[in-house]
Amino acid sequence: MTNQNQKQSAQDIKIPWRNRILTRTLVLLLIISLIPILLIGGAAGYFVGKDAKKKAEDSLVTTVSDITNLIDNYIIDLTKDMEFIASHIDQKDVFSKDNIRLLSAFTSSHRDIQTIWVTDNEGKDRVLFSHDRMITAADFEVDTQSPVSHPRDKGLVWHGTKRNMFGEYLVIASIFIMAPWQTQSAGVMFFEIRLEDIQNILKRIGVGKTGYAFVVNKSGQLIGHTDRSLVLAGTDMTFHPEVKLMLDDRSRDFKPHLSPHKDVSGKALLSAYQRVTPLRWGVVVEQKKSEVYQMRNRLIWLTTGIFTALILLVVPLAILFSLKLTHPIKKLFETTRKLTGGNRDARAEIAKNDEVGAFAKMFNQLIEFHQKSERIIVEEREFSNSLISSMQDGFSVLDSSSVRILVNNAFCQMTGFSREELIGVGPPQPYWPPEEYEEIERTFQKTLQGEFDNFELTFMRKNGERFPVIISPSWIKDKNGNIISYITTVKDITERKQAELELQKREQLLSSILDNVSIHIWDFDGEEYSYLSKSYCEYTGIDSSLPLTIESWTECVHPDDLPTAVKIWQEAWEGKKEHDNYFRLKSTSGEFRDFWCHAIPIFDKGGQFSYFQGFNVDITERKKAEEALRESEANYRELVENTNCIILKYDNNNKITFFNEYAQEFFGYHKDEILGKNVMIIVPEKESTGRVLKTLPKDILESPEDYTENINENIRKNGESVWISWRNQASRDSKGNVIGNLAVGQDITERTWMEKELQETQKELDIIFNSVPAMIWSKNSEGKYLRVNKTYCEAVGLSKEKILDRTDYDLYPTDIADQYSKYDQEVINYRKPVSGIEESHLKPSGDYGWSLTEKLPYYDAEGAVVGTIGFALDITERKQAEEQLKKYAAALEKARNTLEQKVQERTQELKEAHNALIRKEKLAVLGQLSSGVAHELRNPLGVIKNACYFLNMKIKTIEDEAVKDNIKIMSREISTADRIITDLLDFARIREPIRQATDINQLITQTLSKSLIPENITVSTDLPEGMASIAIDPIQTSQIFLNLIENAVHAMGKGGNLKIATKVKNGITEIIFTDEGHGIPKENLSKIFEPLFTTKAKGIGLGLSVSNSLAKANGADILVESEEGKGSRFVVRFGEWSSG
Amino acid sequence: MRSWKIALIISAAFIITNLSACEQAERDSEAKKTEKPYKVAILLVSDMYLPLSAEGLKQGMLELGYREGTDVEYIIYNAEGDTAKLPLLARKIVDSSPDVICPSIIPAINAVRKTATDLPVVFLESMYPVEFGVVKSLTRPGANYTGVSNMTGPMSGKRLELLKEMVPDIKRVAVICNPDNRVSKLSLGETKKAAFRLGLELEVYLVYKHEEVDEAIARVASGTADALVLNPDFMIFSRLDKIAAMALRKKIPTIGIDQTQVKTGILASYGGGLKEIARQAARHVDKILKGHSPAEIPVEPPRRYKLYVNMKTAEAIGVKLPEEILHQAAGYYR
Repeated sequence: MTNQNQKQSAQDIKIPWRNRILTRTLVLLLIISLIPILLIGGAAGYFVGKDAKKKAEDSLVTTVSDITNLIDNYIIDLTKDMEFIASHIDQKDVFSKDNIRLLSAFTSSHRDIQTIWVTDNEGKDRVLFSHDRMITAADFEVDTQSPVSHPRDKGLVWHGTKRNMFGEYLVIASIFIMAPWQTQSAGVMFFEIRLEDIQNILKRIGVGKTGYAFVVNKSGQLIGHTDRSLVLAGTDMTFHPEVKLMLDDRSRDFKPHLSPHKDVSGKALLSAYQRVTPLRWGVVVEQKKSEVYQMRNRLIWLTTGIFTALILLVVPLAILFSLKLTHPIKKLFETTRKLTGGNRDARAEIAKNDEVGAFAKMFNQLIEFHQKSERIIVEEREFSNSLISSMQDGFSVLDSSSVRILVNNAFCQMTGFSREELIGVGPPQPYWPPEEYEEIERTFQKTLQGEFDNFELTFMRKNGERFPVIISPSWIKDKNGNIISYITTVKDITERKQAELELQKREQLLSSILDNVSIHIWDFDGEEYSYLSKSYCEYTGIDSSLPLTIESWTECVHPDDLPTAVKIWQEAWEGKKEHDNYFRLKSTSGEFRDFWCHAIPIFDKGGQFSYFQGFNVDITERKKAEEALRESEANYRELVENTNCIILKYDNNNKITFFNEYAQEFFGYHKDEILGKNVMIIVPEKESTGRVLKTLPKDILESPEDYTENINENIRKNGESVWISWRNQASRDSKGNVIGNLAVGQDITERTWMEKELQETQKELDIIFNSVPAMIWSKNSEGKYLRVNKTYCEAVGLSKEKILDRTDYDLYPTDIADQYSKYDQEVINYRKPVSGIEESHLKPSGDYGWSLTEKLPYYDAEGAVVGTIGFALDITERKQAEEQLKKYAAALEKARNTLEQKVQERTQELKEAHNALIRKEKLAVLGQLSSGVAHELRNPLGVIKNACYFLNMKIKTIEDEAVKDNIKIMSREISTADRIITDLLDFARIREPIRQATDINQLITQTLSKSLIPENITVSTDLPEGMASIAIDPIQTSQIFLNLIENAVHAMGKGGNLKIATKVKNGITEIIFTDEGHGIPKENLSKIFEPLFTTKAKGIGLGLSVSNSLAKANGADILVESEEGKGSRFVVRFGEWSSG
Repeated sequence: MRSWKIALIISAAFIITNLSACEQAERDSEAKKTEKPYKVAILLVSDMYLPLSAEGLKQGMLELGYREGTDVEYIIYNAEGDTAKLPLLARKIVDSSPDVICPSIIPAINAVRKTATDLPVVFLESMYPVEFGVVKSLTRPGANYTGVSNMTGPMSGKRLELLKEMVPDIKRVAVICNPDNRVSKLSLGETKKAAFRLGLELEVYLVYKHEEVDEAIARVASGTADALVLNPDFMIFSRLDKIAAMALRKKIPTIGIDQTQVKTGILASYGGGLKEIARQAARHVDKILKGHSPAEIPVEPPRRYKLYVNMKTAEAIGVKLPEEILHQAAGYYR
């Protein structure tokens, strides 16, 4: 409980925030570090700001002073120059060329002087120089705005400013034209000066980004400004407080001033102003405060920034430092907290050489020491606990008030009560039997009085069973002699008590056994039998109550055995030796039974002979059995000796213990030679088959059940090796352990040899069977394969295992299996071999091969046919060669035929080429001729046509119809002639087609509308909608159609129907013209496209030829089909490439 | 060690952000200008004004801190001497709604005026802005037009006077005038007045078309005039090469209005300088871009009138320039 309290209190210790060392240190450090930083920062900021402010203001004042000085200097320079000019000008002729030249030179360095004019003494104004006015112009007209009046002062007089039309201010100055040494002036010279240079000064002296400078004249008008527009706009600056102040100040010495104010938009400005002394103008420089103090602000910012950064730097550093400082202490605290919280492994790991580090080390050592002590206590406690618990006796401790505080396992087991049931329990204890309370209490009282004997008591188990115990009490006293606890060791003596009881019982049992057993026991001291067992007395009929001497024994012994028995006894008596004796004793019934007597001399403690104790055992039955055994053994031996088998026995050590006569004879060893020898004498170490027999005898002994039958090679004495078939029988002792082996052998040497030869023959046959290049197999009557050779397997590509015990139907396609089975059946049915069969077989590749097969009946030993035997040779290659040969022969035949055909074709081609050549020549001539002739003919035809037309007009009055008809005929014939000429020309010069996307149906419709179709001919069209346009020359194509239509019309002289259809098939556009005319004879079909071929009376045979040429040029073909008497069908096919 | 580094980095970062915050505040005030490039449309009557007005304006703008491409974009519309094209170009300009329109001379200004646009217009050269009604007054233009006036027309008399000063022997002076151009006509009036004062005879050649300028030049060449005064007119100026060549061939002293003319071989020029004026007008554009109303920005006169002479020409035509002229000259071409 106290320990727990301690833990609790340690956990509860919470250090208030402000009391923590770390916090206090931190705060202290912060205060210490921040104070100087803040002080320095504040001071630095203040001084830097102050200095920067002053500098900024000074800079503004400097600017205004600079501007003022520049303007002052400018005016002074100008004044001096003007005075110089006035004094050096030629007064005699003021307007002379020389004066003008002088002024030109002067104004070239004072370009602000716009105009110079002179008023002479007669009051006449004249311009002597001007940048914008003609000096030759009329008299100078004084501007109404001009403040000019005649000066009274002879020196330079500034008249003030005036504005020109643009609003620019011009300053006017005047001076008398008079040399210093003269008294009379020639007139007054006036200067009109632009303020461009002042403007330039203002512009040149920049006033930051927001600042500007301006100049006002003495009446407060803006005459110069950084922004020129404001000057031109004419701004009155008298509203400006500083300007007003400046204008009002009449003092000569005006110092530059600085004043803050606000502009129209309310922005804070800082103005610096100064007066231009000679003209009493004012110069003002204004700048936004923010810009003026920009640098200062920036410095303040920077300083603040740096100091903030410093603080930021210092604070973490202070934290880090204080952490470093207080961390060990905190760690110690934490460690202590952990320790008190129960974590005994906690240590203050502080690797420091200072006091804290040393303290931590000592602290750790202390904890180590404490822990070590604790460990020792625990170990000792554990030791005593284990001691107590390992005690076999019960152990219990009671406190001074007899309440149990400790009990061991043995006690619990003994009483059957659990530890919990016993601990903390006072008297009466639950294991006290109520009937024993008094006794126990008494014992306890004895103990209290210091009597520490062992007390025997009876305790009670939990199940109520009583058991005897011995308790050994003791007590522990404190320093003052007060008993603080009682210790009791309790021993369960139930077993001891039981053993005592058992012993008593045994003694009783023994004496009853001794009395009843058939073994006779006796004690004899040399004179008298001190003890005779009841059985002895009963057997011999001796009365044991009488004193019995040695005679009582000799009287009972068989007279035959007596001498020997007495002799043995006497020898033993004299020597006081333990001895055996055999004799027959007479029973009460007079029967003699065999006894074995064993007697032992008994000596007293002093080593003095006391008596002989002996016992007689009835061995009559054993003797009888021995007798019988001996007899059976003799019989057995006779059997073994006379058998024709080898019989031998060997023991665990491989020693031969038995070797029968047959074996002796067989192996050539005499009995004496072999018995006791190692059995390996007749076993070779290695058999001729290569089998190792070295361990065979041992193996047989180790696992006899594996070697019940065994054949192995043996060696005769003469070294001859023999084969023997052994049957082994293990000999076992009474416990079943193998102690030897009985082997019975049969000589099988001859049989073994025969078998060997058979195997070899079989092997050879197998080799032959498998290496023959022919396929060999045998089948049973059901057609199942019994044997197949390697060649067969390879030929069909199946393993032997897959073939055997399967029929052809299992292995091959039905057609092949049928074929095989047919011949098999034939062989079986007719019992005759079948040979020369050409069969196909399935090759591993899946192809069919060919084989030449022979099949024989398969006879069994009785001569019955039980299956078939087959041989086959693979003749596939031969067959293939034959096939190939046939093919070659056919090819040869074919080639011969082709060659003939080729020759014919070539001849035909040659003929055609020849014809084409002729036709070409014909065409070439025609081409030349036709273009010439056509041209020549056209002109006269035209004249005739006109004549006809004229005649037709005239004959309207003539009544004679014949004349009219003839003229009509003429007209028609002229048209025909014209058409022929056109054909000719077309033929002669077919131009390159101009392809364009054309709607073919539309083209047909157009062409039809142009054609002259007689009334007896009907035209039907099948022009499906939505056909794609094709790229063709529409004019040429139209001509093709026209020709075809005309031909059709001509063919249908007696009337009929012309059908025109279009269709698109696989990208090919077809236009089909079908007429019902007379058709074209077959022999003419090939000629119709030739030029100059015609059957018409009025044609020259160019129409179709031209059409064909045009079609070719447009990427089309014209096909024709015709049947005489029924009509023709022309198809114009436009190839795929022309579509689009 | 690691904690040290972290502390250092934090403080360094703090100082940097602090400083950059100061800089940023300043930069914000001026950054507005460069948000997007301003669009300034320039309308020119002919190619002649390309290196003068357009380049002058660009130069002036650059001096005020406007970089071409990033701060300002110039869209130049050039009628290439064909005044008939001007209304269409003016319409195009107005439709593209630029920030400022800068027409070069009065035909271009008039074309812009015809569109009745409210967009601010800064003319790069206008001789009689009040007379032509472009502005109400020079000091307070009053509407959306302002710019620089070069006074070349009113200075026509001064030019004749200077010519007489340079070559005092001249008696007959030829003037080519395009009566369709009012400036040309007004200038002729000035020249006439000056001729009367100077006691000179004038040979006036009126031209209406480009072809007629060539004829006029030929006639001047074959005529009796011993000097030539060039009054402002873009059509006549387009044949400047021919005039200069003729003047040199026929040894006719000629005075023009701009230094570029002197470069081509004219004896002298006097005036505000087209390029200079355009450069000066850049300030007007700047003010407008900064939000000032054109109505409040006074029309400015040229900063200076400058006399340029071509010494080579003088030598070639046998003119010895008097000393006072040489004093006055702002530049010589040799």
